Amino acid sequence: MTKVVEIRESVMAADEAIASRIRAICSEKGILMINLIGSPGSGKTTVLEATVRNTDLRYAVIEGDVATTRDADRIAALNIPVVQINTHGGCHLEANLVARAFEEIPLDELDIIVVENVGNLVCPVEFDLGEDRKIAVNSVPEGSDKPLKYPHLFHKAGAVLLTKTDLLPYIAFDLELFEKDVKNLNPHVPLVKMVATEGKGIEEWEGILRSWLEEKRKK
Amino acid sequence: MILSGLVEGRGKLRLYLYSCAWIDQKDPAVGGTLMHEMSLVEAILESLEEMQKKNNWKRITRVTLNIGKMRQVIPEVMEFAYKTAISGTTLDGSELEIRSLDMRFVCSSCSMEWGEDEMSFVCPFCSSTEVSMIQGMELEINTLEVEEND
Repeated sequence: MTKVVEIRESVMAADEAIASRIRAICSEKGILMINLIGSPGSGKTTVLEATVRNTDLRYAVIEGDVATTRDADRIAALNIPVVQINTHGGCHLEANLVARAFEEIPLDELDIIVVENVGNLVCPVEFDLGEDRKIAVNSVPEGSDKPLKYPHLFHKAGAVLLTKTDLLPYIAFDLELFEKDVKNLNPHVPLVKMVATEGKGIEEWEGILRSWLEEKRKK
Repeated sequence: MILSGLVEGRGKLRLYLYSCAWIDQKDPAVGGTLMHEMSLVEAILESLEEMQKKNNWKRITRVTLNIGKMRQVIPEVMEFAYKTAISGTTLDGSELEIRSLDMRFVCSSCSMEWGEDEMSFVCPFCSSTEVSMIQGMELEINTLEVEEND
């Protein structure tokens, strides 16, 4: 005998349960966790290098890549605890992988954990890693049309980092349109213009991170 | 800071440098997949297996999903991934139906509603930012058609 059963449960219920546990651990330890999402080559690792050096904030990093440990190498060179996850074809990180990486991180001595997701504007935003904020990283050479093409990311982002702005004079990037499209998708999101290799925009970005950390620890 | 430990199981964890560790997720069956629809299908199959056990159903014959248009899922890819994944399992032969839900926005300042053509969280009518998305963000198992054990 057949019957129809109503379920109404998230497709990713199991992974979301793991993300909730990660979120609970970070809350308990007073750690801010952010998830950097952007195309390959958007400048995520360079922004991260500029963010973690020359600061009194204590960081750990989780690197997600299809292959190699190149990004983790760059962070390790700055003496920051880092775990590299290689997905070997997976186009995004998931909470179960991040949970395993957490086992290798000194959680009692940290202010901020940064997850640098696999380079991809699509899939990473669909998977909750337990983070406090997703950060959209978009570089000038990618063009100004990305927000409307990838609305889910830009809508969900807690901040938008526009990188490589030193290239604006050389690339047909409509800055006004970009800012307008971002505002339509996410009316109050901070948009930070950066030249990470020169440290430009990093102070503003660190200010945002500090305010989120303070807000979190007040709770 | 030196990390130590070699963890076997779902992937291996290795010492890499003095201040970093490395998780190598070599087994594609446990999540290193080529497209996220396959990840979603794997998650669905895990949920279905659990539900079948818990409810002691004889068979699940039909699965309907609600997938909002903001979720970046291609229904045809999802259907293909599902068919591929259930082959040879107890779900073989079951149907997948995807209800694709359009984006719908509403402004709580002026109560107007609009759709994907004007995709915006700033109200196109009164410019308020008191906008929410009432449809289009779903990613859920809606219903199952099941055959019960007699």
